Amino acid sequence: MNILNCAECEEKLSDYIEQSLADAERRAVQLHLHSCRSCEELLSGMMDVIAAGRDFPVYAPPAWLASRIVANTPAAVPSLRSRLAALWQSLGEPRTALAIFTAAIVLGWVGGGTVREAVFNRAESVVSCAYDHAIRSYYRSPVVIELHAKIDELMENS
Amino acid sequence: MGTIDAELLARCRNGDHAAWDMVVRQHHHRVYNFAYRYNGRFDEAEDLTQEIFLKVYRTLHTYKPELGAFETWMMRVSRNCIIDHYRKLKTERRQTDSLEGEHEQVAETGNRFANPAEVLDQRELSERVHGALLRLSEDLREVLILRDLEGFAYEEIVEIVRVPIGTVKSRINRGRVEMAKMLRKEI
Repeated sequence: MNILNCAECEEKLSDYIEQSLADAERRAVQLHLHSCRSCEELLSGMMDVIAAGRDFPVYAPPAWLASRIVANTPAAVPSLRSRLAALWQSLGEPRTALAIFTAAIVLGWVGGGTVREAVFNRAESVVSCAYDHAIRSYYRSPVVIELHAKIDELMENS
Repeated sequence: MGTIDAELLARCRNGDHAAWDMVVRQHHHRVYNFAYRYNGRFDEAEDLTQEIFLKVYRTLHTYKPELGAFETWMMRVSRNCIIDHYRKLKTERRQTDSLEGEHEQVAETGNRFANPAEVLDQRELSERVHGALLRLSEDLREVLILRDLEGFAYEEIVEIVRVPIGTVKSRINRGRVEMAKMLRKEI
């Protein structure tokens, strides 16, 4: 049988308490415990720790805690699908549908082609401004300037 | 250990506050006690319990029932929250609260000790054990709480702490050895 020293015995004490050692190991631990007062006391202390853990007090949380948690839980953010469904549903409601219909009639009567043209012109000017800005930024950027300089230099050398 | 059905969780995911209220009321005792056992302070346990549940709610969609019980998943979230909190603070902990704490103790343990002197002895022993527990390193403390105080199986602790079972067993053994030695010195 394997003779254990104190450190080896100490490593196996939890398994010994929980009866999960193989027969040979269990006998080796028992043999050591019979001959070692210190390890025997350690075993007893560990069993006290386990017993104290089982009897550890269970405290009731304050009565208001659950309510506070629920009150502080943010409302769930609805998914895109459910938002679209809600929008579709609202469009189908008679009051909304009537409002859209009336607005379309009024705009068509007051503005007609003029409104459409104004909106189109405004959009076109915004897009062309953005395009000009992008092109200017591109040609003024240091990297592009340097690249162009290098290309010119290479072309001159060749 | 309380179980929770998939339908209730699905309702929570869809923003049903009544369902969420049920989940909170079913589990907040356990989370509260786990937090208290870990840091030894009632006020922090209250704040941590709230923080944990808000995190559980935010991450509910990541829970997969096929990978384990909801309680185990929730305790993993709790454990991570508590450790994050603990590392942020890094201040000395008051080890025990007064015996005349304002919080009512659940009758579970009290019923076993009819004699008031025995109840007091048992409370004092628990206070000493808790004091020793709080002096353990984080690694040893968390597995010892999960095993000896919360009663989780080794496989569940592996799921919660995410370390191999050999490491869990070794930490539990070392924790018990250190606790036994600390308590012996106090006598």
